[in-house]
Amino acid sequence: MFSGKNKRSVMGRQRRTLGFTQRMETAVISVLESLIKTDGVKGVLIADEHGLCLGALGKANPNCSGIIREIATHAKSLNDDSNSQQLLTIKIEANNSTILIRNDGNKTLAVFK
Amino acid sequence: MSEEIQMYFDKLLLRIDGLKVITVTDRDGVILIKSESKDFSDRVLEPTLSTTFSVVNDQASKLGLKKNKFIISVYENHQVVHFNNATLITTLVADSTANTGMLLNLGDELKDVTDVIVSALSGHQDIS
Repeated sequence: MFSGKNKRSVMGRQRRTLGFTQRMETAVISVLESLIKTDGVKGVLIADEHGLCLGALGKANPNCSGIIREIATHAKSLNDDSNSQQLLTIKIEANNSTILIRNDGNKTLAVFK
Repeated sequence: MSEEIQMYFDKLLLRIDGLKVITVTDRDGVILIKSESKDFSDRVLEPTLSTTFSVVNDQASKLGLKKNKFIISVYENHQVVHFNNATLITTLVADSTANTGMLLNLGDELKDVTDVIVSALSGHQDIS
């Protein structure tokens, strides 16, 4: 269907597109990988301010990003001083696992232990 | 049965902050289920909303990335999330500041309900 030259250019375009996608995710994934190497950490997830998943590794389910963001938002509203710059950390303890959630305003990090 | 589904949808509106409307329509825009909060202006819900999505969904499915699952549109005051579920379209309208991740999660949950309606509709079509 394609001539030899056209075929190469199409493949080149695909490679460039893939390369861009990989680079875009690499920064987030490398941070998550460094976190998941820590002892006892079974999963990590980062959500943005809209509750959309930016990256998830291990047992962290990407579909949980909205819930994690919502927990962080509601926990913030428990604080009397809404203008406080203090960062909150939420710890959810279950029988076999623990989830730590931290929100810096825009991004929310969840660590599954 | 239909009252139970209506009650279930009404309760969902209270569960997510900023969620204003949930509708389930067919591809022609015929509303099967609709639940809206009291403070919501009806002007936002254009009748063409689901039919337009139906067209956009078909186009998006031609991008070579397999079948389109959902489309999120964010406007100045509202955000609209459309889910494609076989012959049915589930539409969520929420404030633009609402948690989009929660809306996507809700869409997954609603799939179980809409699957029942889809199978009921296909069964009905088989009989007729």
